Amino acid sequence: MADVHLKNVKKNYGVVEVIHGIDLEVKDHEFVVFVGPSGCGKSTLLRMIAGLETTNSGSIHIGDRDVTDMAPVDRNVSMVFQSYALYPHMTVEDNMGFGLKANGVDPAEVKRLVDEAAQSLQLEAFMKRKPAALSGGQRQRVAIGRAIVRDPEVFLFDEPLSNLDAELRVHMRIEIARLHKRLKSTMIYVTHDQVEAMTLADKIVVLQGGRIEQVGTPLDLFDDPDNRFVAGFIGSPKMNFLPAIVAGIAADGVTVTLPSMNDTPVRTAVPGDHVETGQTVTLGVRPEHFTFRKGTGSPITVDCDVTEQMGEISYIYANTGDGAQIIVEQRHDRSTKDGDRVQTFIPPDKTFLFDAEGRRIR
Amino acid sequence: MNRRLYVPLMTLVLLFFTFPIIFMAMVSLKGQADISTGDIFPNVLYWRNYPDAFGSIALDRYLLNSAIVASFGALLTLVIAVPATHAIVRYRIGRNWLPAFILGTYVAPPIVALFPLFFLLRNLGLVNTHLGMILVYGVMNLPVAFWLLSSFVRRLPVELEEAARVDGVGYFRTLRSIVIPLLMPGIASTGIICLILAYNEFLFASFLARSQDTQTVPIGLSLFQGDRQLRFGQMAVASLAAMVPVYVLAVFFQRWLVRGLTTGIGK
Amino acid sequence: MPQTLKRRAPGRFRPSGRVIARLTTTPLIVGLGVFAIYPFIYLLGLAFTESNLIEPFQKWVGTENFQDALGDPRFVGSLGRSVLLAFLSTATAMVLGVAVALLLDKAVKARDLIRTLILLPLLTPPVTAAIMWQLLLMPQGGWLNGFLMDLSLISEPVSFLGTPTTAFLSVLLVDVWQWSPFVALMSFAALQTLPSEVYEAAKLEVRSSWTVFRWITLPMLFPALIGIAVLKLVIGFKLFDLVFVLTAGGPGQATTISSFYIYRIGIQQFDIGLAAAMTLLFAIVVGLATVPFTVAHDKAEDRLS
Repeated sequence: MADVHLKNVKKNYGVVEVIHGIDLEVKDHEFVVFVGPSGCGKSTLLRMIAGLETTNSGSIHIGDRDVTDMAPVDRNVSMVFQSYALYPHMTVEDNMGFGLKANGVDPAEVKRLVDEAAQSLQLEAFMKRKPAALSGGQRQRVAIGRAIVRDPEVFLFDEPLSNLDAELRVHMRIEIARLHKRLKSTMIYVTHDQVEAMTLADKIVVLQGGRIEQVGTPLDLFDDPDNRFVAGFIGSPKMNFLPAIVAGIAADGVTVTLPSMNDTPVRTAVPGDHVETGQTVTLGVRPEHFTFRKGTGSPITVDCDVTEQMGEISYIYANTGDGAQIIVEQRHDRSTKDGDRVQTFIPPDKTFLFDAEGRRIR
Repeated sequence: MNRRLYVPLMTLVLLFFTFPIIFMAMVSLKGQADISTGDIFPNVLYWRNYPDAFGSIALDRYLLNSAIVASFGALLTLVIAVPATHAIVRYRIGRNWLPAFILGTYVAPPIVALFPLFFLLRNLGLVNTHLGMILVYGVMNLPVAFWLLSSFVRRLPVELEEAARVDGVGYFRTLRSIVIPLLMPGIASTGIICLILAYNEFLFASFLARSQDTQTVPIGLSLFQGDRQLRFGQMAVASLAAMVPVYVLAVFFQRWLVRGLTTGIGK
Repeated sequence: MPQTLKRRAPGRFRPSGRVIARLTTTPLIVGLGVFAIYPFIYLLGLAFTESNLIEPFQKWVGTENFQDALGDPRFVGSLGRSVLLAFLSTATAMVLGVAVALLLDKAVKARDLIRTLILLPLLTPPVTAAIMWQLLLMPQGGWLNGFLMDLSLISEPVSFLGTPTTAFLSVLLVDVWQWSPFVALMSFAALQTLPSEVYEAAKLEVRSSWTVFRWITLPMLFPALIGIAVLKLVIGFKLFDLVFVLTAGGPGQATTISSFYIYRIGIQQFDIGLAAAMTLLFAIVVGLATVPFTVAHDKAEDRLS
């Protein structure tokens, strides 16, 4: 059990720097998820912690040990790979026990640890099988079992669910959450799926272009994103972003107009301390925050292009004047048809404003 | 493996594989007295071996014969093997027995075919002709060509051919306009390998090529064995001349060669 | 290695396509029939008759040729030498080739150059390879003798090709020189197909690279290696030209392998009937020697899937 500290960690391939000085603290017992679009460096960062990639500068500590230049095997970490990376020629039993045996652990003890892990993962029936004879979910459980038996200080997961089908993915997600509850060990988990990040994490690290965009609890990131990237990345469907111009600054917040919608005014609860009238900003509204009751916010009128009926809710895809699309979620009302003109309201306290650089205006 | 061991070990390996070649190149530049010293490098450069070697045996003629029979032989192999391999892989012609038969024929040592083919070619009047050797080489490499090509064919997405069929494109048109262009890297690799195999071949050539008009380079070289005391320098020159065409191919087509050779590995 | 051909090709075509497809395989089947089936039948005919190069099938002699062949201690000896040489060179080339492949796997710089250099012995015409090594091995002016004398390992030049044991080992050495690059390139390609994440998983668990090689790499590579070994074994039995030029079968019978002996019987004694009987016996030996390994190969492939 240990915490993990990254201090100004950098990685480059030749002249190309891919990780630009990352500082991060992962506390003992914490479940941290690295999330970001592909190529953001999340897997590289994880592999640096594992020791599978060298760290060019900065330092990595696990507990009180500096592991920056240690071989992977000395770091006392376990990793679960996207492709499971099971040894194809070994039975399930041997797969889980290989690391222990190779490091000279007494065979009887190996057997006991492997059986224990197998039991907790319901793998007892498959112990004599080879990976090729297992389903994807079973292979994934073996990979997890192999990680468990070594009783590492830190568990690393590299997109472990992305090879599974949707149903199994949900199932395994819950199993991993349960595992964390039971083992209470430090886990670092990489995914590009923000739903996995939201549901599993104690703390999410959003990465982009080899830099940390924001670190926080899932709800922090959802309710209080630092910038437009995080606001857009967390939440599904994505937050709507509309170009806006600051029209008025009042005590209870800024009012903006939307050039793409005939300068419709929209009131926000964003304080006006850091903006000036006429400034170009971006208005952010989540699809689920639109309302349909008069008086709840600023009215806007949109032309419904396509509607998606999801049952309880429906999504209205509407075009704005400049060709961009906005998505509006509608609950308990299935009446909207393609081509309808719909009036909807934006509650001031559910709005976000971002400056030209994408920074949140607070 | 220890990283520090890599450089010395790799050097040793490369030396083992290239030293005989280097040594022979050095011998080609040595006079007779120099050769008997056993030194690696010549003490005096003796260029005369070069014109002498070409003067004492008909090297240019051997090279020409080799070029003719090897390239047309390889071409014949491809002409037969490409459509057939495609058909066998895609249409499963001959189920399992045909591929097994084709590869099985490769197991028999060439000495098996030597005398029967000699009699056959003699009856056809093709002994000591380029055509006879082209036919032998064209057929000899069919199992190799089939083996190499079939993994290339298997890797082509069948959907492309199906799309052509749906569009009503005929069999040979599909082969010519879709399969062969996409198969080109595989065809090239296979062609080069068959070319080299035919070029290096000795047993059939020694039996079927009876005069200078048809004798290939390996046969020409073996004739040096007649008097072995005096002509090591010239022998080295002739051997170098024999290797150069193949080595040039190796340098230019290294990737294709390696890809061709190793194509059956991994599925 | 030869791929399993049992797999069903995806997609089905119209019957008319099948008919044309079958037709296009005809030249291949006919060609191989002439090259592989016809010779066996013809050899049978030759083997049971008195035949020479001028006139085959002179008169029926029954099994006389076979009896002569099996009664010829030189021929029986050559069979043993063929088998011994094929297996020894396969084993040696496998060990050396796999080692080189592992080394090649570590190469970061100049990979293409290294690969080209390693490829050269394989591409060298065997006749030329024999000449090269003759130059290295000869007693006067051969580099090896000078080298060993400089190291004081020998006091006077050794005639490597003129002494039975060293002549046999020389043939083995040159064959290994030519064919271990083949094994190396094939094994290297097989290494590249192994999943890299499995190695990474092993790196997290195990310190010693020998343990990784012994328990992870080698077992995963095993089916491919068997395939490569079978191929090398088959190729080993095709050996002819190297012996022809390097030692001409000598000294005595020390390097006389069957294909060379049969060739001599046919071309020097003109006894094609006897040569045919010997060829058939040799073919049977080759079959017996290689078939168990092809079976082992299929088994090894099944084991992993």
